Amino acid sequence: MSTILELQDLHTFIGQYHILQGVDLAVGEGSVMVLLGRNGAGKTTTLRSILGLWQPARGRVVFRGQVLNGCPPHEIARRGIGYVPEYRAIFRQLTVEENLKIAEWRKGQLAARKKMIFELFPDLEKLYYWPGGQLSGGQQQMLAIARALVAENSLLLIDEPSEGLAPVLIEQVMEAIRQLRGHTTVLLVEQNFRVASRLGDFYTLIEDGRTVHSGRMADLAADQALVQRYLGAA
Amino acid sequence: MTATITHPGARSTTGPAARPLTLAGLLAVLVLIPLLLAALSAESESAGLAAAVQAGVCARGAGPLAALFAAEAVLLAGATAAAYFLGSRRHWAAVTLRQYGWLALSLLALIAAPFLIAWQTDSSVCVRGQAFFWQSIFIEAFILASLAISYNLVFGFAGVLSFGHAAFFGLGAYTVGLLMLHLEWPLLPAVIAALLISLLTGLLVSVVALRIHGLYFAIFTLTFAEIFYVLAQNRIMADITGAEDGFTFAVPDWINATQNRLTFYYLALLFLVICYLLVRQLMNSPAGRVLHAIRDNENRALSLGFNTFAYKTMAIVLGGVLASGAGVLRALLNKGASPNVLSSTFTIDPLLMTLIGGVGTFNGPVIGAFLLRMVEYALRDSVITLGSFELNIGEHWFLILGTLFILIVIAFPSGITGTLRDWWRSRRQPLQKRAAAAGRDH
Amino acid sequence: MTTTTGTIYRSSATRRSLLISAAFIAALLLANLLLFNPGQMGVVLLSGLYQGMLFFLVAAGFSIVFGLLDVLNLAQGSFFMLGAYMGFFVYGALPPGTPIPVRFVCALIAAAAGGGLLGALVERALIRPLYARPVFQIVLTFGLAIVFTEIIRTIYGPAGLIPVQPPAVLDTTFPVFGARFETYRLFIIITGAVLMAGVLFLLRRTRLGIIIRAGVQDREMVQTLGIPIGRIFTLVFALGCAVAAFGGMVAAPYLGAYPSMGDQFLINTVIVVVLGGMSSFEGTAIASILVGLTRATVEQISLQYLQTPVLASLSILLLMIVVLLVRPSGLFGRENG
Repeated sequence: MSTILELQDLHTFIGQYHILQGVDLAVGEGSVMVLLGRNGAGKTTTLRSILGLWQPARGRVVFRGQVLNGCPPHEIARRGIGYVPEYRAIFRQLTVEENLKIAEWRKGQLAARKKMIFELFPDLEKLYYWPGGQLSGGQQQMLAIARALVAENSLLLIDEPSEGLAPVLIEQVMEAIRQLRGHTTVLLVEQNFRVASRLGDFYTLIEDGRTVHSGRMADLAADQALVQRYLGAA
Repeated sequence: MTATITHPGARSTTGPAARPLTLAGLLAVLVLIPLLLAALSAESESAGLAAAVQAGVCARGAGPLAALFAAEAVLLAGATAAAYFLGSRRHWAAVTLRQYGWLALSLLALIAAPFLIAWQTDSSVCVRGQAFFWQSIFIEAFILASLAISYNLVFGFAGVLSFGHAAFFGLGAYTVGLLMLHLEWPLLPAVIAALLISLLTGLLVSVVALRIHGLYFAIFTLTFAEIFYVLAQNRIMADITGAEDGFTFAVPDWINATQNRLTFYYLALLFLVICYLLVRQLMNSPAGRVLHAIRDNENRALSLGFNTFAYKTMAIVLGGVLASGAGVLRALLNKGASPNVLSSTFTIDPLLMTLIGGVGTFNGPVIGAFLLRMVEYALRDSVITLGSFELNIGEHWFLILGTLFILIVIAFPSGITGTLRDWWRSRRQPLQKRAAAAGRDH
Repeated sequence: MTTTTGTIYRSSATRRSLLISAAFIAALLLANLLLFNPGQMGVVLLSGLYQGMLFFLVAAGFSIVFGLLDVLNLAQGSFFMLGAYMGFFVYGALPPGTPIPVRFVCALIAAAAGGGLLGALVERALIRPLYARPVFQIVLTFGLAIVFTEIIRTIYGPAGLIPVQPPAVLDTTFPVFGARFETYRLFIIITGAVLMAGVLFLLRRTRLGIIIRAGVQDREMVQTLGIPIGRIFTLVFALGCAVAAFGGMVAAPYLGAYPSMGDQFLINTVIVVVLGGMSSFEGTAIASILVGLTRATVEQISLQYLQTPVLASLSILLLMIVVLLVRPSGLFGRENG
């Protein structure tokens, strides 16, 4: 399996705060990598650094062999990286259709992928002309993920998809992400270890802005001591 | 209830507290001595100290007087400079001089200016002539500087963007003038009434509008000022206000700038000093630190338990009163008022002066005001030629102003004092700067 | 509520605001009916629409620029004024034999193009560097307005230019219930309405419109979708200026051109945008009609009873104060402005 994304000793400052102090990461193509760590460890900052929303001060972000440092966010996105942020960030005043349409780079992308999207998220077909603000939290999350699928993204950065959702909805979202495996690579930030352990193939553990551990998810799930030490109660 | 909020603007007091009274005493001595000598040297026969001072002061050139002032200035400058090298932090004279020395020097220079100019141009301080003329330029600069200080208090220190400052300025001018013209009030009650009305207006505006979001508040002030302007201009109240042409009124002799300009000069200077010291003392006090905190991050100040509303109101009201004081002076100077004093000119000017001098600094507005006024005067006859295109600077001063605006905002947002301070800091702390630069992202 | 693509989503809040607007207009119509004779009323209503359209032409750009870029372009009125002067220039610079309608159309195109180009230049060179310092941005546009006014005053003098001749077909009057109304002003009303519809179409039915509406809500997200928001900003700013400049030239045959026309329109523009809701285009459109009608009505009342039009300005200013105090987000804006 080839490495589609690699972070090498990434340092990012926000103002004068040294948030990322050396993050190393390697994501294999077609896999689901979970970024684990406590609150404030720097997981969201890592995602945003990859996207160029916060430019790293040191280190490299390599995507498909190309260095992304210094590129503006929209160019990074165009290379095939989709983003599903923590707060869902769908456009509430736009309809579901418009939310999906805006993600197109070329005419016809949405049309080509509509079928797949409706298969993954049948609700969206029913609500196609509804304004985003009227959807429930779970449906908005589906929309946010669907939107990232419209353009032919080979890497999806998903930040805490289960946040604020009822358990049954979490199941739905998890199922959707599981099905993505065939289509695209996923880098997932997830606080909920139960969800993370069932979704991820691999994990990278971040503490205080640094990578402290990485490996196969199966191994981590088996190691209770490690989980307890870095994540507190699972 | 002192929160630990850093306050980089003000200088910290090391050693015993600074003593403004010492400064006042020093200045009093420096000023009184020459005046006494002038009185003694007068050749007038009339009895009374005042008449003697008057005669001595008005003597052609007043050479010895000017020389004395100059000598005092040199001594003061030397003493202040020496105070920086006097290592001992506990010596109260050294501390006071370090804190207030340059201030006292500038003040002394301004006090002595009429005489120095008279000496230089060999004219009299009391009668038509070069020195007399320059006094009026300085008086205008004083008034504008006071206005700029009041604006800086609201905008630079409290962080409240307001487009309606001219309303207070004009309100002061119109109130004092109308009261003296139509109701025939004597000077002092009229002035006090004008200041009171501005105080109430400031309170009204704050109470009514401060709760709305900053941007809308700015628009509110713009509207507010516009209403005043329309009211002043309209023909319905023309009998009272004189509509577009404004009105004139009689001013007591002693303050009549056409005859007793020197008195007016010192009055305006006194007002400027009051404004300056008031704002400076305020910002160095605990209340000032709170204002500073509010400007930097209002939410944080709120969460620390401060009633930001009350503090901002205080800043706006005080700024309004000071601005109307400047307006009162302006009306007394011109012996009249017209809608022009309510126009946007008097919101733009203090804003620009504050920007040029340095927003949120003590000396910035004053420097900006003086610079602008002097430059405008100096260049009023100059002409720029671009190919076949001639541009008289005096006529198109507004164009220069607008261009300056843009330049400052893009290139020198901290103004003169700010840029100087940053440059000074970067020279003294290069290591810290490099570290900060390394930590900064794009 | 299911809607077909592109129509306006009506929440209860929007419905309420629409009702208030309708009630307002009804009240104005009532006042007109009661106070004026039919001829006067016709003129007042048409005059109100005319003024409203002019306000709209300036306010449209202002509102969208604020919504998307978060920039308060106080120089917007200046573009209105510059458009008039640019159009005048072209009108007069064409070879002597050119028929008036051709001159007229060329002037309009020149104004729009010039306004757009200048706007793009201003955005890239002056506004871009200041996105991190919004207060200074406002100060900058303020300074820019002064500079533009003064440059024009320097070149052309303070007196203003005599209105140019519009095409003959428009240079007539037509009867309205016994009074007469200039056809040209009707032309302005129609042009404004067409532009209104055009911008609405742009916002609702085109991809650019979707991007603009999305960017107004969440600029950052739009970037992460691969859209170069910086270029969009410049485009939108330029469009706003182009529309204002176009408006200035359209009004020029009636209003003439004078340096201070920009500032006069600015305060009315701000009122319209605040009343309508700062980032709502539909709000701006409706509010401009409201303000125009109010102005015209009150002006007529003021002239009739006080012989001076002063109440017109005062009433609008007071309306603005009331809106700011009661509901600063305006009729159709979102709660937090």
